[in-house]
Amino acid sequence: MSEVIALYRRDVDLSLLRSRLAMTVDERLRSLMQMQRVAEEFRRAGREHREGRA
Amino acid sequence: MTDLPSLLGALQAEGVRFIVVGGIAGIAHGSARVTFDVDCVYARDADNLARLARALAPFRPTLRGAPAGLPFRFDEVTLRAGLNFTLDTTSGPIDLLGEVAGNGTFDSLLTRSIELQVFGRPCRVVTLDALIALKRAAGRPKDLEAIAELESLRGFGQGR
Repeated sequence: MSEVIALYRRDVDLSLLRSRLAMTVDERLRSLMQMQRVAEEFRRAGREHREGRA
Repeated sequence: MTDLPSLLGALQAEGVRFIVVGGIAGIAHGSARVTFDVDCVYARDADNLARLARALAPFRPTLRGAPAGLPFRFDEVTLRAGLNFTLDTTSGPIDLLGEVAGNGTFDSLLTRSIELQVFGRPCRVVTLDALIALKRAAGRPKDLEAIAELESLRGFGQGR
């Protein structure tokens, strides 16, 4: 188990974690909500593309 | 203030040639995984580097994770001298990639991408097959989980 975790830890984006830690909790939540907005827009765009192709 | 839609909008408005890869591309193909940044493979020609520098300058990009105070000038010269940039901006994190594992340059991915309408503007995203190939080439443990999900999506007959 520890070896598997160590393998995963090798690829953790520490710069992203540092960036998150520099934010307040409120800023982290707002950032997450913004990211979800972007994700939802790409999800919608992909769905529209697939439906148009069908 | 995080505002990734504005960041993407600025790239699109400036006519920057880029292709979305990574977790956001997976989401476009139906992935249910969560991601926290946007990964873009950008064209390396001089015109595009100039467009990229102009588009992102208002967002004051800095190298993510770099020590505070480390000088960093985001312009065409820096873009030409480097290749892959993990950036923080005033509107959120973005990774600009000149090349990713698996021959993932803009030119090589262009024919393996689709155009979506994102926030009312065209935006290129790698195909599902290309995304799987890129993740296979990267081969990190976390990619293996993503590949399993993406191949399951392909099993559902989702976008190629």
